[in-house]
Amino acid sequence: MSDVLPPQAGLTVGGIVYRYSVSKEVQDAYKVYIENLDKQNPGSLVFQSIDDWSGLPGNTIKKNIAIPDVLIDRFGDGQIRTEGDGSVDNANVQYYYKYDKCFNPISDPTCPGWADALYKYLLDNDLLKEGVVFEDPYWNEFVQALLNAKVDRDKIEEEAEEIEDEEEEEEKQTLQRVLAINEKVISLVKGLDQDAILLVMDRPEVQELYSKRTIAGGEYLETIELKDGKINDNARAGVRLGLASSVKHEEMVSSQYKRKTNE
Amino acid sequence: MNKLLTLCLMLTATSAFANEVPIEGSVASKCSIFTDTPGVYGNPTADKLSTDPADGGVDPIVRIDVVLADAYKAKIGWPTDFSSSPALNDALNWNGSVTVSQVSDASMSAYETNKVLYDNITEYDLTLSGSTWFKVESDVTYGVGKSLPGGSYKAYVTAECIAK
Repeated sequence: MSDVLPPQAGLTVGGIVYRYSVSKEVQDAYKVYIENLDKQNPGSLVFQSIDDWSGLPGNTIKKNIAIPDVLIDRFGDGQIRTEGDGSVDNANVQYYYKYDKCFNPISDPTCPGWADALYKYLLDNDLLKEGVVFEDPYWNEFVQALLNAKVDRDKIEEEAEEIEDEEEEEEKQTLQRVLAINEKVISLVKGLDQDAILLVMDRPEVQELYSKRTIAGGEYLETIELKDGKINDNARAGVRLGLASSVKHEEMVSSQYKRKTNE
Repeated sequence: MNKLLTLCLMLTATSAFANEVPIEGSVASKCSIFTDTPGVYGNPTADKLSTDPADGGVDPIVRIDVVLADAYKAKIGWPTDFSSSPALNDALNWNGSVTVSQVSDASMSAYETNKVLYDNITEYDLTLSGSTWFKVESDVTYGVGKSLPGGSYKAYVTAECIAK
């Protein structure tokens, strides 16, 4: 059966389906045995199904038989055995099987009893002797040196002060730059500089333009005259001023009067 | 007296009343019919349709599952008419047979020996529980050597489970 069922530990067979055709005479006695040998009990069978065709015409039979789960270790080779006059054709036998992954608990940590099975395995294979040195990654010399290294607090404080001083220095320089600009502005309002500016502005040729101007006296008469005494409304002005709707309204109203005068 | 009479009437009225008590039940089918293989008509000659594999057809197979032994009969009929076909104006000559093609118990092969035939019907006495496969053969010829018109032809096999 090793070439029929997968050679997997923990595999069990739960059912058998077989099919074959029988050719015989009706009156002849004929029996067909579908069997599997028992590997753990030589000479006996782990499974047997008997079909008695005696006194019956031949036909095709298909049977589906369920059996209690039997370990593959026990399921031996199968055979079709016949008794009497007849023949079996087109025989086909199939086995239902399933695999229990926890048959060997070591195979999966989720199996019940995995820890105990693993401990037993280690004991049986002399892997738990005393004095065995396991390489603990936390005892690696480089890791240990790092863990043992002491922290130099003074050095850290000194470095922090240096950083602080640098920041202050930088702040001072920035402030100095700003003040430098303001100093220039201040210099502008200082007395001496301001006098110099006024002196430039107070040049005689500039003052002369404003102080030595003469204007002729007398009576200035109005030269503009209104001839008709009437100013006509500019109809187009309303349009320009955005009063187009008002202008249109006036036009419509006045058109009524024009029509009446014509009549 | 009136009070006593009224009281008596009340007592007699309450001692006689009706109620409905339901009784429920269900019957599960003990005989089931399944189409194992649908049939196909081959056209070996212009005037013939046949399910014989040698003629390019497929024999339909019906499976009957019986849970209760010796409680049912199977009645299987081969076709005697088309359910749909092109227009035909001549006689159709139908022929067919039903045989047990497969059993789930060797003793069921006796069904074939004990079957009853009449008209297009084959009757089997299902004396054993289990599954039995029935193969139906069907062929039809049109007129006398007359060609069948082109088109789709369909016919039905009837299968019944009858309680004994």
